[in-house]
Amino acid sequence: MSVPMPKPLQRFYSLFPLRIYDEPFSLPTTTSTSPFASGTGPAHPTLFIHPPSDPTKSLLSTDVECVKWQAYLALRGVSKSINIRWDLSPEGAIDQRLPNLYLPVKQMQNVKAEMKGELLESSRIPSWVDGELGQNRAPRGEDEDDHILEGYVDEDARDESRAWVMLLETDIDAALRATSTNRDSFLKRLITFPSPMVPERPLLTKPYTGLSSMITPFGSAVIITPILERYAEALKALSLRLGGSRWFLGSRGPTALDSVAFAYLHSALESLYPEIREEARKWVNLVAWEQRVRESISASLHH
Amino acid sequence: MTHNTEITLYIWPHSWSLPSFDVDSLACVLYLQLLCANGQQSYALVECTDPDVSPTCSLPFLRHEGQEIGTARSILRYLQKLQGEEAGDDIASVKRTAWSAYVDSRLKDLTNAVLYANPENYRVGVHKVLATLLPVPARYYLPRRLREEIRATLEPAGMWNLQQENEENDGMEEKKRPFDKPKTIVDEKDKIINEAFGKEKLLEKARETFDLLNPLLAHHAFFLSKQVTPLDCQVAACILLLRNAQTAKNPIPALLDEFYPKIAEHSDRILSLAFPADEKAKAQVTVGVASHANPLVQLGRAVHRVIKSVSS
Repeated sequence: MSVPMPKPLQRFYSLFPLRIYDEPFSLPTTTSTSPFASGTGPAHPTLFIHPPSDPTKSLLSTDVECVKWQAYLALRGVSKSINIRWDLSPEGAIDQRLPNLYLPVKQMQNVKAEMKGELLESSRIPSWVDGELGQNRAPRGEDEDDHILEGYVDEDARDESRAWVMLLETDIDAALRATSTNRDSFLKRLITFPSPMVPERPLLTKPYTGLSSMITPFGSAVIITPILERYAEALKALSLRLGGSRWFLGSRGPTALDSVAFAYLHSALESLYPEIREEARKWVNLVAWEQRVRESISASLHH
Repeated sequence: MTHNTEITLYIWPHSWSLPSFDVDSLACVLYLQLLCANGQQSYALVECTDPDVSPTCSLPFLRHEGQEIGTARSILRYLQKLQGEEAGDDIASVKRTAWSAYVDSRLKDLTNAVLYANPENYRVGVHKVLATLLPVPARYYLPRRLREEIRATLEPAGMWNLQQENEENDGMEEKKRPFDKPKTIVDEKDKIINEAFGKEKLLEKARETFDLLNPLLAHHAFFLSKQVTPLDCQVAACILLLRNAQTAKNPIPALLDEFYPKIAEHSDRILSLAFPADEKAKAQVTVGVASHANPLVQLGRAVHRVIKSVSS
């Protein structure tokens, strides 16, 4: 049995592994350009994401990683005070990976004019949320148990959730990436250099020239059949596991697994590739679940 | 279960008293052997060192009744379907699907990190085996290409540089760029500290994975089931390689024996079930060896592939 870590210590540990970045840039403190930002200026935390496909209909981004964090913030109930902006290019983000959360300087007595806010990368968001929620609630004894279990019913469910997150992030993610089309225009693709600092897990590919000949292998062709097979199996397993429950694994409230599952299901249902969409639509309970969660998330995002 | 044509499985060859030195091939051989242990179904095992024989350019791959099936998980699923034990709709088999994805990434990454990422382990273990098995031209470039493929999978997960800070060259030369500064020489003391940190990082990742897998063996002899399933073979393949492979520095077997004896016993049990010592209970297996093709033939094959992919 492990001892639960006190929250301040957890926030301290979330800073590690320490990475040193360039001098932090200062963000404009005047009102932002997106029409959904409230006019109260820099007093609110801001989440920078990839742009959504249709801002008038839904604020959910087109990028799976951004949707994951939007859903996480909304499901944990902190998104009412967070603005969303999508005019930041990915090269400006930490590790060149959106989403990032910008925390403005807190209103204090002796705040100096040149104090800059703090930009958090996505892996530091959970501990920030814990801190925010922890301030609003008086600490009780039950909170600690909840914290070890992270919102799941018991330890077995928590361990199982790791496996489900891995299934989502390997099988379904591979299918989405293999079939994603680049929405940028041809000219934009010509002038941008794709170079994420953190490489993604490679898809199932085979080189054009084969591996064992004397020609150096170049090029890669994605082998689509096993990827789609695994995607179909993963969806079937997800649907059977959800059954008719309100949240995955029978949790009483939304958990991290729910936000990850929602992000992937939403992207699958919005995908432009018909096979991906149709495969996801086959499972009625998943579609219904996604719709229900989407409505509740949109309601809290639009405040 | 009788079929008209025989199942042919192409795998990487045997080594270190195991049927194959590759994780995926070993998992497929174990499962196939378990299915055919009652002697009713015969299959052919082809030990192959040329990954281009397969349509996915990777071994293992399976041929049966005109179909060719590529990756390990697809092979296991196909074999399960043939057996008639299609993955059911009950909760346990659904959980096994999720765990299968977890094992296929985390545990396999851990095994590959121990075998391939650490240059000393690689030199003493896999590289030696490959160099003895491959014919002359391929012997010099194919192991490095395989290692680069594994590196592309391990680097995003952060498992590549675990046991060393600067990769030692050891005869594998990196291209020297013209304006490279000379690398700083690491002090002896720092080297020991780096190694200790690296070992701890590896053990930390291993403990994370085993802590999740250990409770699954609590109720039954196999993972979440009373009978052997493909998930068992996947886990057993990784554990058997971690324990039996020839390596220079491998802290994992000691960790397994001390803290996770159930997982170690499980893998031994799968191996003894698949290859029983009893002489009478042998499945009908024909073992063949596919020779590596002539370099000119390979060149022709590569050009043909390029033309096919350009014209299609």
